[in-house]
Amino acid sequence: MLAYIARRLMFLPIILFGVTVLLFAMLQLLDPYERLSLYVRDPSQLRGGKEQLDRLIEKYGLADPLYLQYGRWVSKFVQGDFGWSETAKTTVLNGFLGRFPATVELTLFAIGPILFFAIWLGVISAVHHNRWIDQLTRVITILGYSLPSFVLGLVLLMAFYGLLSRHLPPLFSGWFSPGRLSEWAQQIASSEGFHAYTRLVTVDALLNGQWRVFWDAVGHLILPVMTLSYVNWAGFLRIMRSSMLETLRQDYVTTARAKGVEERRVIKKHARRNALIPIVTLSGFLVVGLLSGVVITETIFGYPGLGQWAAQAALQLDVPSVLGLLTFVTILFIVVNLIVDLLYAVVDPRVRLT
Amino acid sequence: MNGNSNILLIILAIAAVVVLGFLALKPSAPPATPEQPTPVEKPAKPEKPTEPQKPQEEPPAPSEQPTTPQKPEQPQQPTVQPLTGPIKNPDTLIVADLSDIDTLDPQFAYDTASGEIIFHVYDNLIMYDGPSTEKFLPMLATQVPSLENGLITENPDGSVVIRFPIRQGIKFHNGNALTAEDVAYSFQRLMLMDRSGGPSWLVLSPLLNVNTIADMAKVIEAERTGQNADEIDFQAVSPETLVATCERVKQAVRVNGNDVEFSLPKPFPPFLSIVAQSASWAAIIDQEWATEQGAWDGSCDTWKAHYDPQKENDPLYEKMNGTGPFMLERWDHATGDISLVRNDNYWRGPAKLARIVIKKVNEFSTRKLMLQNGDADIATINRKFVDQVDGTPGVRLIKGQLRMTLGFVLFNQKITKEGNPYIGSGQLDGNGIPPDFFSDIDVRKGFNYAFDWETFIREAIKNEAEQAKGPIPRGVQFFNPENPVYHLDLKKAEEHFKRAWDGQLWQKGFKFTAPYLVDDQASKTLFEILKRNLQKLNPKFDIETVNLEWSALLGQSVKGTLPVYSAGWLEDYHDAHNWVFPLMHSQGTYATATNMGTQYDALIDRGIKELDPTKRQEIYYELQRLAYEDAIAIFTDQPLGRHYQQRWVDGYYFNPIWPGRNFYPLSKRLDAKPNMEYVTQLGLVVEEW
Repeated sequence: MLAYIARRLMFLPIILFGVTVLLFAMLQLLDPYERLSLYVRDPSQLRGGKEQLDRLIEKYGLADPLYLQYGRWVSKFVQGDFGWSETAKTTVLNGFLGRFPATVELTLFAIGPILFFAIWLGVISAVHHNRWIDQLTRVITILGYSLPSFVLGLVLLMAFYGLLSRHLPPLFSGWFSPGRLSEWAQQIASSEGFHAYTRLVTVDALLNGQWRVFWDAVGHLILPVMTLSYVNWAGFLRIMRSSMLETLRQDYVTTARAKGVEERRVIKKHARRNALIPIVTLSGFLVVGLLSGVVITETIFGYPGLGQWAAQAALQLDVPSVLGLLTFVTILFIVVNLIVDLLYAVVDPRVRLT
Repeated sequence: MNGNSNILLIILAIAAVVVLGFLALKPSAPPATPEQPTPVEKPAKPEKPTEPQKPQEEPPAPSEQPTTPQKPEQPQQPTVQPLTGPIKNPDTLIVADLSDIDTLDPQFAYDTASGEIIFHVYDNLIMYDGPSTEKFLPMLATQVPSLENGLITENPDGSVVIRFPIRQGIKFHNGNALTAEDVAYSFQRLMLMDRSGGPSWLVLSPLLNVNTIADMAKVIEAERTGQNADEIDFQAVSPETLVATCERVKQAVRVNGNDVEFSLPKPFPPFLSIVAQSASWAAIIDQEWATEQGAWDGSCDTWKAHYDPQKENDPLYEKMNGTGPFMLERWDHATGDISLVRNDNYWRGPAKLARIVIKKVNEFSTRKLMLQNGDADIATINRKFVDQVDGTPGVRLIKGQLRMTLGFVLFNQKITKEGNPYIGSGQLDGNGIPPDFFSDIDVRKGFNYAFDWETFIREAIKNEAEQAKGPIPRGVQFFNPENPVYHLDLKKAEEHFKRAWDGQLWQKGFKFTAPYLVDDQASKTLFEILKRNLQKLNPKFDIETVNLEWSALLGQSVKGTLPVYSAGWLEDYHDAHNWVFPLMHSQGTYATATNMGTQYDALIDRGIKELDPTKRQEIYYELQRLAYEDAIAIFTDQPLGRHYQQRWVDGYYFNPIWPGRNFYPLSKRLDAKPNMEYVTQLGLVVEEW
């Protein structure tokens, strides 16, 4: 098993080299003035004319050959310096460390409902195949498929924050509002007496004994988690349903039934476990997707995760940030895929890792 | 759980979503009293914003007051119910904004978002008097220099010395005392740091007659070695030259007792405007503290190490220590939010609000809901969304604020032909335009007469702009309200087009592409209006439009391939020179890009050297006339701004010269009223719901 893991991880630097060289090569298709748009962000900053633009190009080495620019990045990278992020307004590493906990928190809260509802409703639909409950979940699923996250997010925000929040009892004060915390809770979380052990505000609030802050943080997570969950579980539900249907038609299920095994036991012990294999595969992609950031959900709910930053960096040609995020996503992808492969062996005893 | 309870749950969930969806689509209910997470403070007594002690000397009277061409609308009297119930976050002002702060270093910053923060943490030597764009008040200086009070002196050689006596007893936030040395250091650091693309030229130009400190060093190296200054590499100049360069800077801004003297080699009338501009560059920092942080130590031997730093190497990038009404509390790079806390020892008296929080909220709907729910006291609302915010209960709108910006369409008189996808065939054959297409004055006049300002301002700017009258906007001294302007007149347009290019233009027609910045709907509308009218005149006239990402537009504009482009100018400092120079001088940003030539240079150079306001007026009137006669551009609009806030925000007023809002006079109170004196004086409109 360890040899298998080591072999898989050996691919990491090769893949990293490939994707970063590819990105640098693609950027060479733009001329230095176009890449300067990162530093000269709008027409009002063209005050110094071409002379100032040329100074900036020289300062940031934008006209240097590809190998020089790439070499500079690599030499810093191996020293743990990922460069400066013009979009995050800090170093790439600090930008990442500042946003990643928010993304992790959102992922941790969203992944449970997504998988729980997908598996639960998927199994129910398959067991009640073509009955009205199956039709109903199909309708809900189609809605989830076809509802863009920005529409759902905005509707939820308007309904819960715009209308409902004003009528809530004081216990729910600050719930559903955008951001990670209300202003008063933010002040507590930023104070010297509050220790950020994990930078996950819910966890840190509990560890600091700040129940009100914890409650406020949970209230801020509900809408983004609802949005992410609904948009994502629709797909998972369909896959779980078809996988379950497929499994229920297998000979060993028929055999189990013929042997008089209780139906509940057939579904839970014999069919559901096998039907989970495609869900395990897709869960890996889901985790990578969520941890890489969810642009629209974060933007609508003012949630300071990686997604907003990644989108802004890509749009503004912020090369150091894009490279930093690309490195992270590549590592994440490889590690998560590895974990998924290991999980196959757990779920399906026939799988052997060599 | 059995099957029936599953079904019940699903039905309930669907019903909840449907009901909430319907509720969301219904118009907003009147505001209920929001819950308050923190205790309510007693409302502060109404009082006027505290200003510094009365100046001992009056500033030089402007020769001409800006004239308001339109009769100001009568402000509407509020007829809404008085506010009841507690105020959310009573001593904290929360702003829902969408701009990025670039840096907190005053000598590095050159953008309005950073300027707004710096404006509240640092002070300048002098400042504008409330909403006035003409009158100065002393700030860290005790007097506003003028010829009359003897603080401005002209030397026989034509040079000018401007002296600022420095106020005593003022402390920085860290407790250090403000000294004249700090003032001199701040300006010297600005000039010697000279970061590329930064604001240093604003002070280098009047004090040392160069645009960059590298140019100054090259001139000195040339004097010392006899080389040609243009051939000198700044990075290779000798250590002696570097010291000499620094000494010239120190000569230009020097301490004399308790005063700081600025030596200008020749008169530069807008110098006080540059010093008063609260955007950033003229802010006064603490030398001792700055040196402790790792910034330049004030020595002529070390300045080169601090020249043109990258942002990550600037020690003051995210640290602040000023004398202003607020102190930096936190700049959160993850959220983009920034918070300031009150400086209780502020020399003009502490601000009424204890904290200011500026939240970066990119999504409009979220900003709107924050305003609606009272979670934001002030929100930035883009013009295209105003209809969705107007009528929000509990909100006050102040509109009609004249902005010191102009919109215009520039004609490139010498378009780059090589690799240009925007000029078709590159010839006057009906399928393109030649590179010098716009060098013909009749073409430019034809375009001006074919433009419909009324439709543009109505459709693209929702009637919240005035037609621009030329290169100088209303509100700037020497703006000529009588300057002729073009109006839509297709008959005259036809006459000019028939004369253009010896009549060939009318026969053959033209076709080119007008690029505009993606999402810039106003420019899109503008070009569509032009296209529609041109095609009415002659079906052989055609303009195509294409939207470009900013990176592509920047690249193409540097290459000179854009035949026309829609642009705008936001003033650096409040003077007519800062308008005619970029638009008409051969070295100005836009005039260079459009290859306008040198025909206006002499007049512009005369205007900036002239101290007599009457003569300056003649010069700038003449320049405005020439801009019209030569149809150098289509001057489209001067926008009018809007300000949305909670009705409980008290004390708001605005000065278009500020980099943003002024939080110092603000407070939050249930009986807050709009400042009607200010509203009436500036012809604004107040609406509240």
